Amino acid sequence: MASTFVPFVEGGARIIVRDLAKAIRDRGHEVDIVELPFVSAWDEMLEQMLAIRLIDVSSSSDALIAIRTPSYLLRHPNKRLWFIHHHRGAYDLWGTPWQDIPETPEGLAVRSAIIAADNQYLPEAQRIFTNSQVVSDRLRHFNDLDSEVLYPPLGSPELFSRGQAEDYLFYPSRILGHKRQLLVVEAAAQLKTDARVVIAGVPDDPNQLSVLEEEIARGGLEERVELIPRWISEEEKAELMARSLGVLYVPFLEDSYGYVTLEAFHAHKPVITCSNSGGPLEIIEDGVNGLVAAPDPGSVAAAMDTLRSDPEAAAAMGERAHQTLQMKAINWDHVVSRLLG
Amino acid sequence: MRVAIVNNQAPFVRGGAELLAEWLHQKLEEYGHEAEIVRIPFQWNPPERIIDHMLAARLVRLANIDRVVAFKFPAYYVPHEDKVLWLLHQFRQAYDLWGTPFQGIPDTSAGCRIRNAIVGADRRHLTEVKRIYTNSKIVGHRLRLYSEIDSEPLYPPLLDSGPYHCEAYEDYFFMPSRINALKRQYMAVEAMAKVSGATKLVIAGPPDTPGDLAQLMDVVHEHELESRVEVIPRWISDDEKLRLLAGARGVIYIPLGEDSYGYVTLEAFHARKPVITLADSDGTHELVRDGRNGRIAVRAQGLADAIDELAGDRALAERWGQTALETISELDISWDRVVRCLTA
Repeated sequence: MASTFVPFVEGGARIIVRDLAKAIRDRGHEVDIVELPFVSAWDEMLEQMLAIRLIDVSSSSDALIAIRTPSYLLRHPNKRLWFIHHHRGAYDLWGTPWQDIPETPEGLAVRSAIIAADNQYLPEAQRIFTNSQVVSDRLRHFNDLDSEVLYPPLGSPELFSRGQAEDYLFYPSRILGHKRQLLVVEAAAQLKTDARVVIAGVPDDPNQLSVLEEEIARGGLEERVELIPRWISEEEKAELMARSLGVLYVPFLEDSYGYVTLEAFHAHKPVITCSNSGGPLEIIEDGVNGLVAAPDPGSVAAAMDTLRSDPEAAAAMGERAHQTLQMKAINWDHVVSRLLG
Repeated sequence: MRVAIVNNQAPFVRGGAELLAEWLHQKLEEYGHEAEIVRIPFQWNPPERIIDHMLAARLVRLANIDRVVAFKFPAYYVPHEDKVLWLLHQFRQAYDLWGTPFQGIPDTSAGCRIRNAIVGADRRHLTEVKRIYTNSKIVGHRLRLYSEIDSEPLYPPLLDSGPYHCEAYEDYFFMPSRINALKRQYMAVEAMAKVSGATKLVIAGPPDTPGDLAQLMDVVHEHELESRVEVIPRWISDDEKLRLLAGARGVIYIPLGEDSYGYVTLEAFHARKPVITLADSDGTHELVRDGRNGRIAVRAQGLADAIDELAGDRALAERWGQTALETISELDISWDRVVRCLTA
């Protein structure tokens, strides 16, 4: 397996790499991981891409699975990609505030080279899989390439199980602006039922934590909203999830559905998301296995009230959430057999 | 400080360097630093690939890191303004192995150009580092000889020396290590045939191949030493190893031409055991001092004499064992020193 990483940054790709390696080993194969450092600074990208192209790991394995871009540049006669995103600053984020390459002659040349390398070397792979429909659509749109969606399962799904639902909705996620915990706190102020909210996660953005705390104090929401602003263990998270009425996952425009959604589904819980949350919409169907609210406090509050006022309907959605995992083939047997097939 | 431990990678191969990287990683974190292991694959076959991988190492960018600690060619070329080497070895095929059967690079004009590129790159890029430590004096001597660069030895300690202890000096010698021709277990058996007393030898470790074990057993049978030589042809658990070490009269470690002293020697010294080694084992001599904490013997007869000497004098084994333990503190083989040097 091959991927790239930024030292001392624990990203989603590293989790996928570790989980997949374990899943492949568990099925009796041998795996080693070539994880190359990579800095996404536009003016240092091309030489690093060349470095990856020069590295030869072709003789040591029967197959190579490349994950984070641009590890696909490694040469191998039997290469498969589980492509999780482009260098987005050169693609869909170009022309947005997140464009990370300047529109200078040098910047434009680098952008063209990145796109050219993708166009030339991505097709070397025997098969291309992605982690979401969004990424597959981008490969089709920008690079004219077909791919198959392989949803990444949880590393340890057995941790998550159904428990007796209480009166709260649970939002476990790093506390960050684009995860929109603030929207949830604002929604809590507009609840018509006695539903409560538990928000837990590492405050990656300390400012965002102060904003939340101020909003809770301002609205007198101390009884409504419980804030656990720290890292919680997987066991603690599973326990809080098992006893929840449902789960909240309302990020702004994520690529993938998010592990939170999967954890909730494994725990037989419906998930409330927003119509502009992106990836979660690939597996959350409004009124079926969760609720899709408009991204405003009133709509999110209404969704929470719906689950609180009809616990039986909420439980039924939770059951369908669990069935969704099977219907969408979100399990390692499927992933490993497709990647190695 | 944030430290990147930069090592080579040969996919699916795990050796001493991988182990050392993991130990250093763990220790740096114990001492309050942050550490990550960065591995850059290296493929030297066909030899032209060597040049590709040297260039690749130069093109890798390491961000978000305060200090690079690099181990090996060619990963040690990775550019960073704050780089320290803990050099395990240069590319020996271009240096001391050139002209031997292990040369690897062909003696053609293309092969010579590759060798020159390696020698030139070492001379040029190994001077851009802050400091160079080597894991043995031999590696430091070669660096001086071939690249005209100075360095200082920094001896790798055991991950955890705590459990090593001495219980007794019973009438057996212990020889732990993988069983293969270079570790020369067969020579220890031949020496046993020349030993006059009734002392025993315990050989323990996984054979590299079934052939290695068969050859060793042939020597045992040939000298009818079944009752005095015990061979345990498998990985032994840490507990087993500690127990066998704790009770031994001494340890025998006689690899052929090692670069470094070998963990076996260090383990023996932590367990207060004298070590018998051979004159051509090289690296072991950095720890073993003849007649003080062990014997540096010549050939099977010398080995037999050393075994007889220690077998016949328990008090001598005890004295040498005590000196062996003191040798470790004298040379300051400790993680305190390793972490201090590599993060200074």
